[in-house]
Amino acid sequence: MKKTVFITIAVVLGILLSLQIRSFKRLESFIERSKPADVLAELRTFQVANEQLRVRVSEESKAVSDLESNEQRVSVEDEIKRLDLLAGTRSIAGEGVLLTFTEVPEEFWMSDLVTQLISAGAEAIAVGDTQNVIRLTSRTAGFRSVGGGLMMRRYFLKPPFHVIAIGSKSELRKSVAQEGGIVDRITSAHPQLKITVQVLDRITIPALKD
Amino acid sequence: MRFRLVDIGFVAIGLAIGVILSLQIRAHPVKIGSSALDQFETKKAILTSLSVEQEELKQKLAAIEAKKEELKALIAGRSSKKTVQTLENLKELAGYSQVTGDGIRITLNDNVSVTRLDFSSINENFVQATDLRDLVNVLFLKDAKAISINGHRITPMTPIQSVFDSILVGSLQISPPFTVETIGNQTALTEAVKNLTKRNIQILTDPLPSIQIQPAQDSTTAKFLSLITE
Repeated sequence: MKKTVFITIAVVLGILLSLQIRSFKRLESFIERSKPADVLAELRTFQVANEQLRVRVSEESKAVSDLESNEQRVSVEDEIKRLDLLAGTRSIAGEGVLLTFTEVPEEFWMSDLVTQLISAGAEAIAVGDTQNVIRLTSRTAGFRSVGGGLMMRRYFLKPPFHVIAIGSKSELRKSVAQEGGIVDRITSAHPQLKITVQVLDRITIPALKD
Repeated sequence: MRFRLVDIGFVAIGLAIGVILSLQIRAHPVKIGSSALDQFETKKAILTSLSVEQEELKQKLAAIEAKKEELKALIAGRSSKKTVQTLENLKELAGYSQVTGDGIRITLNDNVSVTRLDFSSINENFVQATDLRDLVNVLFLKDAKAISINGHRITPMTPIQSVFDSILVGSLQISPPFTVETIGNQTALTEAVKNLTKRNIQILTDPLPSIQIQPAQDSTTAKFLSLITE
């Protein structure tokens, strides 16, 4: 009788303990993603955002005066050229970084990494494996980790897979590979996962297939 | 004699301490301290000035963009049909065109028990930038045709990040409640919200028969990109 009581108590305590550990792990991962890097970094983010807005104000003002000074044809063609580079319908190239993952982390890490790269000035991003390289656009966005691979909308990518970002190679490298940065955060959450960051003078991203 | 010397010693030490104390009391307090409270106040002051600056820039930008759109419409009227069509197609693909259709509105707000003040918003009762990022990711997975947050169009190249107690969408600061509007299959899009239900925040989902989502406003640069001729 006594033995049964002890076993029951031990089982209940075990369940409570495992629930507590699970809940702690969930909270730990939540804080790991949401905690600010440091105060200065956050202030810098805000300052950069305002700088970007200031640049936009001056660029848009210039665009307006170009439009007003009868450079209309040029402005439409310039817009087509710019959108040609951004829309994903044409193959593009430029300097940037190539990150190689030996395994697939949870999908939220992909969103966090993409955000980090864009904030550092990435102008184009693609994800690929040995078979495919898929440019990130509104037709391909949406990550899901599934069956040891990574779904990117309708494309299934197998590890090792790459994340390609075109932009200022030094800025991009600094933003992802800094101490305590996104690469460190992913690898500390997944010690078995290895991420290598290569800086390249020219990387290509193919046009999206229809 | 010995005791007198000791007394004099004590008196001298007492006087020295008295002089030091009076000098200390007369000293001007240091304006910028390193205490947690001072740092907090400084941080708050910098943030306020950045927010004010951002509001001014937003207003300037809105006025310039309105003028630009007006002029562009005039020019498009004078360009060839083919050029206009090419431009419209590319705009649509890049998220720079208006999208209308049925979809859902998701409103995310902090738990009623908390207030977003004093840099304390990193806990499960507050809506985080990561919640919005995760939601946008799942909405795209569910084939959302267009997404906006608090009226700002979101493309896969729009960064969503937290800055202290607020959230930056692109370069723009937004505050709760966060209204996410999205166009696409209502049932599929509603499924996407289920991922957030484990959080202690307020989530409201409304299907809407007609939503209009404005074009993306952030003019992403293409300084490092070049076309490859196929």
